[in-house]
Amino acid sequence: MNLEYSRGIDKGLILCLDCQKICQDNEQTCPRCSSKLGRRKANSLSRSWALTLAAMILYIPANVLHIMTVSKLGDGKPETIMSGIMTLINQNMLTIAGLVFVASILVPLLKLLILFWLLLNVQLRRLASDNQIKMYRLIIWIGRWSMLDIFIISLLAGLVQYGHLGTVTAGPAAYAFASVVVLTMWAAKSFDPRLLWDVSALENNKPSIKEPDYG
Amino acid sequence: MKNNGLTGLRLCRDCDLLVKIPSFENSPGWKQQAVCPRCGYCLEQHQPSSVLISLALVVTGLLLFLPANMLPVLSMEIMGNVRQSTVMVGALALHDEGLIVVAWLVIATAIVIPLLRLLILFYVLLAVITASMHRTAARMFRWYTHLGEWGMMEIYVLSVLISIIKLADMANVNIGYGLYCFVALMLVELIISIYLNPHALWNQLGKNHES
Repeated sequence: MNLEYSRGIDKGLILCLDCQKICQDNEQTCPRCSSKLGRRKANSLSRSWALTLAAMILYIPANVLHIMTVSKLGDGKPETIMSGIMTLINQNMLTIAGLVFVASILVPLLKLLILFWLLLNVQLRRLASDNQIKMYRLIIWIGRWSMLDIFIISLLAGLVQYGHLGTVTAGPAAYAFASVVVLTMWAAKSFDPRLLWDVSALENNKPSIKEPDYG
Repeated sequence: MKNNGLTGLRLCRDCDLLVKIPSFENSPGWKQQAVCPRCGYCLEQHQPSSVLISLALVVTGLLLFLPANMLPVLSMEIMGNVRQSTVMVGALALHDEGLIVVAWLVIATAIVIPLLRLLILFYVLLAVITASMHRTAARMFRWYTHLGEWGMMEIYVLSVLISIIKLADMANVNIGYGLYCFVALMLVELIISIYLNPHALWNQLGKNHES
């Protein structure tokens, strides 16, 4: 078998994404782990687009609405994600402010932008580069860390329940923010990185010009 | 793997390149990798891991699970009023405030999914050891990988640390025994994820139901 620049799709082979077994493309399910087989992830592009756009829309209420209310001695002040970080800076807790900023604002934003960029690249048939695959792996890896803020809120809301002395209650932005985290993780999972490379196979005329079904 | 001309071949998960990789059988290098020449994806890692040691780790994790979730993680005191919190209490506080889905998300990612992954692995390893029930085990092992990124214990630990510092100027905050167990459980899950060789396990699950 000549292996130079062969894709599985050209050789009639499908990789089982669950157990990594190489299967023949006339098989419907993997003979080893019985998961469904497909040449590429099903409806990868439309799914990731839909999930990414939904997350982009929710990113706005997540940052505009207040995420928690800290009340001391009766007077509560609702905080958004950003004003919470400002409070931390004013209290001189710079390290934590930095951590929360990265996990709650930077990472979700970066994820949305990178997903958007990757999807555009596939849609516009741009050649795959090292950067694209690196970015893809980056968002897969860092995506989960945005849950940090949600966990902190649940801890504070569970602990700080002292009636008049002080309470912490969660706000509606927590809903939007949790949705952004889940939707972007899901979008990154639905995205099939092999689509990036399929473009380069088409451009290079090597070894075959069979159009993969983008679905 | 059946010998149908595919021995030694791998398909790259990230770019669908067909690659021939060397056999790792006599190679001494721990964590020596075969990577995809085009996109750098790690196709296989030489990682001899014993099923019994994996099982021991899983049992350790299961033993730690109850104290990690029953004992208080943090306790805090303002003017003589002491409140203690477990992971569950925090989630229920969200639930009471009407953020029901968020509460379930916390319960799922910090409690249920880590437990589920341990139980699945327990079953799969037992199936490999006893050489039986491979169909079910294979089906369950798929879920183990799918649930991987949704178990977020290490993130929860970091959030506990941040909460301690945030609350420190407001009240007396004390670390509970639950947190030690929780951190230990997190470390066990981390060691399992480093030590376990899913490739070898899949091969064993596959071998037995073919014969």
